[in-house]
Amino acid sequence: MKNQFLGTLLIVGCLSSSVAFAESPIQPGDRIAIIGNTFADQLRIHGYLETLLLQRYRDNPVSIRNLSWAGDMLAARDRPTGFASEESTLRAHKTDVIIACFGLGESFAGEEGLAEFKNQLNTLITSYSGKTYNGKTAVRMILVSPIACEDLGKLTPGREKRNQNLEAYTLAMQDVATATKIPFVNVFETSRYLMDESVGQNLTDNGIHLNAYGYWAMSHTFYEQLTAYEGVSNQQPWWLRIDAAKTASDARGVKISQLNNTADGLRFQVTEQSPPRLRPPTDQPLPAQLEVVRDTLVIENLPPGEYSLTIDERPVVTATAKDWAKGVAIDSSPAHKAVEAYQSVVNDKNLQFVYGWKALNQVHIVGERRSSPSGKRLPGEVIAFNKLANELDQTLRNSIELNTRTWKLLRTSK
Amino acid sequence: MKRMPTTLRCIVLFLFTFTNSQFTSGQDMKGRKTANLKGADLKLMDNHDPASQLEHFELLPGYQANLFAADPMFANPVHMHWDSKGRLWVACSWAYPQLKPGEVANDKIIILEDTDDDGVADKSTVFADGLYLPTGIELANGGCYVAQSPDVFFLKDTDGDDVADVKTLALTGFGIEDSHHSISAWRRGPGGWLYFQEGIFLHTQVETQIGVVRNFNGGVYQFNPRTNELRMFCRGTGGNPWGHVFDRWGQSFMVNNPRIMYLSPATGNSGEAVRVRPLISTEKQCGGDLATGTHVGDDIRGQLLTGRFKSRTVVRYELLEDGAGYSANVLQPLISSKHPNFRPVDVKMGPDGAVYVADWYNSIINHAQHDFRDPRRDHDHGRIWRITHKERPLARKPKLAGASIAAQIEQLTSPQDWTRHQARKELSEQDPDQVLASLETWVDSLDTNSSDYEHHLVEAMWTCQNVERVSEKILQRVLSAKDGHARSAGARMIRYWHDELSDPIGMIAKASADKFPRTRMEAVLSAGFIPNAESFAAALHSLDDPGDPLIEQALLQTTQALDAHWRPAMEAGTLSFAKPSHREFAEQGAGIGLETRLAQFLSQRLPTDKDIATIQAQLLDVGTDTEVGMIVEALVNSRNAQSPSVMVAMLETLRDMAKPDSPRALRRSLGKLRQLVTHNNESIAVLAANNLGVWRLAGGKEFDALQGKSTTAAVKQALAIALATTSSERNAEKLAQLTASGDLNTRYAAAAGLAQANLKRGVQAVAVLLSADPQETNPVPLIKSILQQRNGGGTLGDALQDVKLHPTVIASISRLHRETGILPDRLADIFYPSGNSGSLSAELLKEDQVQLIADVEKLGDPARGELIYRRGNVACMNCHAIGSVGPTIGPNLVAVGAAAKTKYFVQSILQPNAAIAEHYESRTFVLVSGKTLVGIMAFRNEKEVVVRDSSKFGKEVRLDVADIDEEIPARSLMPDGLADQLRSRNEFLDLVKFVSVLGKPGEYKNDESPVIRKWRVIAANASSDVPADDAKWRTVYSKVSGELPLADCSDGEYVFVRGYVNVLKAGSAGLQINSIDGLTLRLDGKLVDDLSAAVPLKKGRRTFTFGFSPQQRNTGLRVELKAMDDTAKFQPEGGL
Repeated sequence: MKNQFLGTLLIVGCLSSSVAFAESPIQPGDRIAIIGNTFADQLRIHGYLETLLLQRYRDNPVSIRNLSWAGDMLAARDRPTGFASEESTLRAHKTDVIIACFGLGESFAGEEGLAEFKNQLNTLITSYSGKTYNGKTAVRMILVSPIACEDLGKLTPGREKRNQNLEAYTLAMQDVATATKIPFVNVFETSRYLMDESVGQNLTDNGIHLNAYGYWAMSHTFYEQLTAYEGVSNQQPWWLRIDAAKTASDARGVKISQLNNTADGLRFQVTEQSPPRLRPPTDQPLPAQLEVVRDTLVIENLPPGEYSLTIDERPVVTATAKDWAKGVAIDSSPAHKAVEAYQSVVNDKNLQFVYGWKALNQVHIVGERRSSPSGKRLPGEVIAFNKLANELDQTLRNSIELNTRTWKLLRTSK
Repeated sequence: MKRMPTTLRCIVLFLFTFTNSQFTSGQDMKGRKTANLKGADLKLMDNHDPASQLEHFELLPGYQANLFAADPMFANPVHMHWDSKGRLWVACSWAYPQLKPGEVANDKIIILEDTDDDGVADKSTVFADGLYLPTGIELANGGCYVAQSPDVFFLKDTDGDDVADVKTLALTGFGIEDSHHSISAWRRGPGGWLYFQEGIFLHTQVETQIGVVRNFNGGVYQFNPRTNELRMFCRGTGGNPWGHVFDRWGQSFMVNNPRIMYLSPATGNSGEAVRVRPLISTEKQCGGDLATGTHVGDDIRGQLLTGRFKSRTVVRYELLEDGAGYSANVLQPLISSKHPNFRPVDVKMGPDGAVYVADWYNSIINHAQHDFRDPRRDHDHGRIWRITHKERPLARKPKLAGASIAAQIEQLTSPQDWTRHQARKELSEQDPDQVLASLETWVDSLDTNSSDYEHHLVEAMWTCQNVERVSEKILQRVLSAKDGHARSAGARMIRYWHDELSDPIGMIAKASADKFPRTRMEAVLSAGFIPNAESFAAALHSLDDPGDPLIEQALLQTTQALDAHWRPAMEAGTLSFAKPSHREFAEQGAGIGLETRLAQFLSQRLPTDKDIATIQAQLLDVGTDTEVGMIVEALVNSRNAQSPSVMVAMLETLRDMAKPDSPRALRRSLGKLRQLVTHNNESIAVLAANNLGVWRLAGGKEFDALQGKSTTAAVKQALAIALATTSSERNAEKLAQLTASGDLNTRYAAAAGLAQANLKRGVQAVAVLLSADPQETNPVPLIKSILQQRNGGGTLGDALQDVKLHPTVIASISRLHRETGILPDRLADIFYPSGNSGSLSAELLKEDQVQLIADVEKLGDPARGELIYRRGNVACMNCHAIGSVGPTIGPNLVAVGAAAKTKYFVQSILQPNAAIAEHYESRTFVLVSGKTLVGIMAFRNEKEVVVRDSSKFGKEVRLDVADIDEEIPARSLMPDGLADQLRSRNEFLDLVKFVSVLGKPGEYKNDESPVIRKWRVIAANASSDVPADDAKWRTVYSKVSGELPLADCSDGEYVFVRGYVNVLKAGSAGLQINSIDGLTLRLDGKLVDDLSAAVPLKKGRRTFTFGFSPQQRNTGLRVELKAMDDTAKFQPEGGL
């Protein structure tokens, strides 16, 4: 058990002293815009971070528009001719806070480029400084570092040098954030740490861009850093521990009641107090550091044998007494299915938004051929797509229901 | 489209209802506008039985077509590739052109398989679905790369059911601006890189492991699937690049909409866009492949086949070697169809040696021409046609998948290009070290006497590249081959392998001096990839055999690519050169020794245009006061008279070198240019005056000259502007006085000067002048000079608001606008009021358009229409070409009738700004100097922009990007109200009818037979008296039929008409002349006695000068050439 808590500390530990903010960088009801490079752009495809953030303030959830663009760099953000200005989109979204992810493309300039990188960051911060998009308050900024480069052999030549540079750019960004009193999220450290871990699949397919698993793995630290603040603990994964011999239990994230031994196992009520965590998109074993971010049920002192867990009569997982004693991840319970369905709405919202905001054939909508009659219906369709996104966003304000369910553990073989 | 989340269902339902309610009386049952269906063969259009298409194919003699696959196996094919098992992978886009709100993207990759080898697919498998507009696919790494901008995905089946179960994002950040030319035309190159390309307007930024690849306005990418490296292969291709092929020796050709381009010379390492001049430009086309292998006949082997989706043909091009490069000839189509839905968009050679054609199958073409939501868009059909030779045996499908490395290597000798390509692909997925070892042993076992031995070596070399292994042994053999083609392939390889070669620079030095020009070109290009100074010096061996423009272009790229290496080395004196001429080239590039070179240049009697351009560029780059002084001395020293073209070039250069803060002594010496203001060559006099202005030297003497009786109007205007430029404060008042009295030429000139000094005052003076009779004075130069000023047009518009202009002024300025479209809107309204009630265009616009279109169809006469089209005052020919001849300011109209409906032409003539054809939007460039220029952009890269100036028949003007202050998208250069030049509504019907039949089968089809269509005409005194080359020959063009009408050459009692023919390969040609009565012919100046006998043609540009007396001839002149032997290859010259 101790090890697991240590693991949690390691993952969350990357918060370190730099993120000891007086208040959470993300506030209830925040209307968030994400800007930046490919790392930021692909966040919208995978939806792990966004689902976590949306469940954070269930009474007053945040709303997110991802305005990033693959390949964006601080001083090079190419857009189609006539493309809607970022300012107009920020205003349409009534943006309270901007999460800015930069540093990968810039880091190829190496040490020589560091000073310029800091200049450009300061220019970016100044350009938003004092701007009001929500009609009330000045927009806030959060800076996010680049991730590390993963060792994929011949696909990632000069990887060590790359990581030196990425680290230098991360530290430079941290310096700027400190000097300008802007919250800073360090995803470099944790990503390097996880990439060097021997257990578990790769976080990237090309060394530099997270895959689905990578986004899942990194969403936890990203989320913690965006929402944690000094002295206040954050929403943690579910953790249920039952001592079958003593019929005793304790739990985090849920409440256990009516715990009873039955002829062939256990039966108890679980009242969900916080939303469950999304399961990892992999069948491969996870490194210990990531096992602890899963919702987990530990049952000690079961008689030997294999036990199946059902929740509200639905089979969830089967494991041996030995495994149950070590802890088994619970991530396909009815509550987990609900949060998965919620995540797919998040992804669909982002897709509909992109279909409108970043629609194909921009030259016919706003660009060089906008006056051509063949595309005359497109601007109207762009508005329709945006409407679809806004409607889905409204749907997302209804967080998943938290229920009290009956969990049963039944011995299936000796 | 089958899957639909519940959340969206109601919305889709809503939209569907909404759309349904739109069906109104002007539409048919399918929601198609009845006006759009006029003249269409509805029965055929709605007959989706493939048999109805088969009936309508016309094939080249000896060939036949059969249906390989059709809906419902798949639909909407965009692009296709064969795998090594002989199965056809097809990217299909139901969602094209764009998803509607509420729809779910579900485009597919389908595998078609002919399991019993009967030439018909009998199995189809959905490899992947849920895609959105897949524009290209290619197979590698055991899976399939799929492009759907902005992303490239890698999809793979891991459990053997041919359904992808792994999908990863390979690359992202490609341009999304226009899906019809986003990343497409994917193709594995011989070395195992995947090539794909995008077109104009697109911005791309892709993060890779080694940096961010950025690109704008199109180009070709190359992606190494083994290392994930992404590079730009070539920038600057722009347009709509829809096809890319590699020939037998690895040379690269692009199908870029109407243009066929030879890409290899533009693939240097300069990082900049290189202008690629098309080999030939005909009609829009898409996809393509080279006809290869043993099954097709000798009549098409080696030719490029590509789909002309407008005129519904698969056309053929022969590519002819020409120095380091190629030229291209278009040939009769392989297949053509009258079925309205046949739209060939991709062509690929198949495993059996047959030609496979992907048929998009739709009665309308892409989204630029027709509404995105046009109900005629077909989402249910698609065809793959298979074309075979009737007599020749099919090729046998090889067994490659699962075969041993040795067996796969053996296939590299196959006569089927298809098989060799697939063998390389299969080997790319084998163990690299084993493949390398096997290849190195294999080349030793080859029969060195085999005629294809050297090609086998090249295949072995490419296969090494496919497994990322370097074989210096094989490369050495390739570079020592007897066949230059093999050596050129080896020289290209150095760019990839140099890191691991023992002496890459030695190889470059040797290959740069090769006797085969393409080897020299490739060596020079490869040098640019070896980052050191010596590789530059090695490339300079190519200078020893000068004269090939492609090698020169290659050397420029490499010089620039290695700039950071050779320049410091040369300055430090550590770089050694093989020859003094090499050092001279480098010094020239570095700006060293300009003084000596200028002195040499100025002492030359007849420098070439290239010499002039070279020295001009250097002077502007690094010229100093010393060189300015030298030029002035040379210009004013009458003992050393320069040719006018040199004088003009030097005066232009001085003008562009002007610095207002130059030392006084220097400016004083420039004062000597005054004497040239009286030069009898007006261009020289004007430029001299320009120089006095920009160097701030104009004063009292210029005031005198301005008022001089013998000074011409053009020089007066230049002088007045020079005075204003020298000092607006000092000279404005005097200029103002001159606008008010004196002769009209002086008053006009002074007004131009005053406008330069003080725009507001100037335009007021202009207003006064323009309200009076200009008499002999031409107001056009004055207006042009004001338009060139920043805000000139607008300010003049303000001043003329309430002025009653003299009718003569209006007539000449409106003619200017009609011919060039350069007036901004405000002024156009004043000088060129279109749509005035009562004007023909206003009346036509008021009419019921459906009726008007119907009348065009019914009453219009294309023959009369063509004569109207050719009339000078209608000005069509000032901007539009038809086929190979004419200017390129507006779109080429050669097949426009086959691509769009009558309604579009009515609208385009009456309201030119309603829909501007792609790439023909005009732009206004405001220069740092304050001047402006209006035209169509022909090319741009990071350094320069090339603009076609509409006021000069599309003459190209080069602008430095640094000199451009602002770039404003403008309107169509085709002015409103052109129809007002027509005499009647009937003439309008005729004109539209003519345009609407262009390219359709029949009399006005796109006839690409070798007919002389561009003529120079001149009157003469007698049949023996051919005027000199520099006499005032006029340019005229033949009609669509190829005939040069008599009316266009009745200049005198006797006329000479001259056409040029570029002979690519010498041989004998027969002349097919419509009537040889009274006709004389001189071929390159020598009289030809018998016009009906074949004439021998030497390689090069041949001049055909015909003489006749128009009065004694009862028909125009049509001359077609016909090759009389197997060798002769030629093209009549087109263009302006």
